[in-house]
Amino acid sequence: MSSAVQAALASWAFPPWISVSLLLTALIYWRGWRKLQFTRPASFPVWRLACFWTGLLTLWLAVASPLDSLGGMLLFLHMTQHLVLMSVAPPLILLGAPVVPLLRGLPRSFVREALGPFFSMGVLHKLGSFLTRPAVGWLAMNLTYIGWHLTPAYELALHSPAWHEVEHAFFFFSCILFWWPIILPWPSVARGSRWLILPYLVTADLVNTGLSAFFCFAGRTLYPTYSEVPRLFGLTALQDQIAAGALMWVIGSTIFLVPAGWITLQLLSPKLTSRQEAAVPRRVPRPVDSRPFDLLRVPLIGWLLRARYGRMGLQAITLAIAIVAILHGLFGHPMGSMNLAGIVPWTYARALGVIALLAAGNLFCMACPFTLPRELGHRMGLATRTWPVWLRNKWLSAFLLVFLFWMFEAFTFWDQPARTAWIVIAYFVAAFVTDTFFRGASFCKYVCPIGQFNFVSSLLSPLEVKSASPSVCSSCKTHDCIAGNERQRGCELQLFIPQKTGNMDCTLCMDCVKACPHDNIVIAAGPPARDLLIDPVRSSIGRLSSRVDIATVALVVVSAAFATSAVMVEPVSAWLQHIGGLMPGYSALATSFVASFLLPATLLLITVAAAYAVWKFSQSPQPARVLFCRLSLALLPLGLGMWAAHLLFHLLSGWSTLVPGVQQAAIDLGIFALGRPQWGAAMSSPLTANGMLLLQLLILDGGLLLSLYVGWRVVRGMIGGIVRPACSMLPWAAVVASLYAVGIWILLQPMQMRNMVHG
Amino acid sequence: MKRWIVLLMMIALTGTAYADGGRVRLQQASGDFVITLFTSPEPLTTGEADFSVLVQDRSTQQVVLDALVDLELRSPSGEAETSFLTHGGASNKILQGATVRLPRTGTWRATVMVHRGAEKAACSTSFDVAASHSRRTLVLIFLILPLLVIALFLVHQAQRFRQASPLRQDR
Repeated sequence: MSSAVQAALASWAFPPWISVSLLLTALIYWRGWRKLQFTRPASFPVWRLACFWTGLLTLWLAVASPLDSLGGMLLFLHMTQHLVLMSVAPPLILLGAPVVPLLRGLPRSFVREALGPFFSMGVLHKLGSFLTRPAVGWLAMNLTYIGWHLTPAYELALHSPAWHEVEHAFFFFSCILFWWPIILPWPSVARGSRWLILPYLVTADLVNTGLSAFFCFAGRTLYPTYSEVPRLFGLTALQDQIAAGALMWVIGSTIFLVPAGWITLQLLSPKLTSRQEAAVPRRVPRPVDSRPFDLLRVPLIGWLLRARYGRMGLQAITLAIAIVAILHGLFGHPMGSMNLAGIVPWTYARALGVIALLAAGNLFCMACPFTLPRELGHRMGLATRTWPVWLRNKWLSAFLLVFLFWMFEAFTFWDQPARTAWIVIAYFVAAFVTDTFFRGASFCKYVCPIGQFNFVSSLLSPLEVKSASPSVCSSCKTHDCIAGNERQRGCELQLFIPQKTGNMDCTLCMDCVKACPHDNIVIAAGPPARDLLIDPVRSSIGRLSSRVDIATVALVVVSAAFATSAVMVEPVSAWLQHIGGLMPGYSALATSFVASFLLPATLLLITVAAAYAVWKFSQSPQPARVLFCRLSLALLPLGLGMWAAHLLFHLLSGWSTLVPGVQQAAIDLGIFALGRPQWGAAMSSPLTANGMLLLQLLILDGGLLLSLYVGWRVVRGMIGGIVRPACSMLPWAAVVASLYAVGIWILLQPMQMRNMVHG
Repeated sequence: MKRWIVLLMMIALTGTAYADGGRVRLQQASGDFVITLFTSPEPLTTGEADFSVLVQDRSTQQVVLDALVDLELRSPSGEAETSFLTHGGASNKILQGATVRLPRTGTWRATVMVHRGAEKAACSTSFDVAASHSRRTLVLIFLILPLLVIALFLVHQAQRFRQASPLRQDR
């Protein structure tokens, strides 16, 4: 094989969006198919799963394989790609009878609550019924087929990636409609006589034959682009076109005529169908495990979480990383972007922590290195005091959180590894001192600003530690989950499992899991942000609607999301520099300190005003404070969306700095075995600028919609109906929309590449 | 109705795919090589653009894979920037490519320099860069998306409310 052919065969792409969508669809189908194996094994044999998965695979191959990469230079490869999109993937997918498996594969509550109301809409029924008529399918496919092969349309798709995508969508979708009446995916039924399918297929083949013949016998190239591009593999443009026509003719006709033959056979011998059905083995399938998801039952992860020293092992790893970062920060390269004290906390830990909160739970607190040395403090026996009553709230930590955000900006931590190292050391000392003299986990619950960030953010997390069976808890007399026992301490944050709802104040330390003698604690999964939709009395917290301090922490988190991103963009950064230049050093520092507190205070005042307006309009019987607290928490999805969009930018822009960072640290600390760092290679990002913006906008859109949904549920839960809550929540929705607009504006600005290696 | 959901899911599946390479911007025989420069998107606009080069042997027309290819882009104001093109930078591995930023509108000049051992060749072309609308379109789509979802949600809520109403009356 020549090297050019080898290079051509290596021309694979990895389109991220379609790859993830296809994988997700395959998993949903598989989940539904497994359930149907229990209830309808005869209707869903293994071959249906194989067909559906193969259909998805061929779809992926059409857009990711060399067919796509080389299609712009060779027409016959481009036609092969279209053939796959039109005649291979759609029938295979429909042979999988995807309707019911996909619906059964989705979470039941989602299908019932979100999709259910649409199922009964007459207009959609009629539209669906119209589109799956044979005449509509036939016309859709053939008009699409002919229309896109006209020279202007084909040239447009060749020159415009966007139109090329539209063309592919037309091919695939119209062919789904075309193949639907032929395959009749269960539970669809035939309309009219099945004999009509024969002329349906044969006439479609005639159209295909006509177009293919035109390609073969035109005697000139139909698409000028193929005359302009360099010719590969010795094929002239005309030969390429003839090959494409021949391919369409032979393969296309086969694909139409084989089903026609098969259907004729079925119609002529009706016994064939019944014989086939009888041949399906009647095996008794294994029941599907219907217990809800429990992370503790997942192999390896469950074992690690339950293991006596499992969490401590995780903490030991993060402690080791923290020590290396501190050493490198103090003694290593002075540039933050080339020092582990700059790279680990500001590029990696922040972003991964937020992603973990949104995708799983409070994993940062679970692996927190700061609480490991405090175990030593506990063992000294000095922790005899209880935390002062007047400090048993979140006000101190809210203040410290703002203070931390201010320090980060004012002392340019991202660019000063030594300062980062000192703040990490200070954190260790604070945790150690607090928990040496005070009982329980006072530092985590009342002091730690990072902890508070994680606690309020984890109200959005899908995972939650809870009891498996409330009846087991009600019969429990020892309450080991909170009181502990001789081999395992109970929850140091005073969360009593039978009354614990949601993730607030939970560090996922697993103490309760290990202490429970009844093995009645699970880590369950649920819809994100469900914590914000309900307002029960929570263990050690009370109702969130009565906790103004927690609402304030939420507003600090939200305001900081926008503020920390804004100070990095060109216009804001230039304006701040201008303002700073007008003042002497200390005065500028003091002004920025005051401004750091004014910003969340402003958002707090705006939210108070909006909540009061909502309260007035809705005439809710609940106090206005309840609305303020719950609507403040409802801003969290948008705030976390902004954090995720911003921190993902840092992570993806600097994702490859870790390896050279480690090499640099090794050299700076006197170890030369890891080689010299290649900082030039650390500049690449896995996404293009537009791809990055698309991802950021998608995340921010998700945050906006989730915030509005939570706000809607809160207001509607108080006054009922549709129109009144919708009108009443408008003042608060305006606040959300304004924050969203600010977020969009920030994302569209040129961003300072802090902590990044420049080329 | 259910088939509709599936059809919609399938629409969502048809995602990104476009021909690699793009428009032929230049094809010229120079030295021992035939050099073809492709650009994408079409038309070229400010922002990111893909530049790919196919190098062929002048006498045999065989694809040359081991040549080193540099691309110099000179902006309308005269600033020049050189990029090294690689097979890794193109999804079609017979090309050598890179993604570069075109920050300004106006007429740019591209010079492709190819060398393999002692063999050297170079060729140039000019091209126009227009103002970008793709970023604006992207933003517009993502601004419209939440509005569509909100509209869909309102229909959903109204439908639920309508379904629940007779039950209320029965009670």
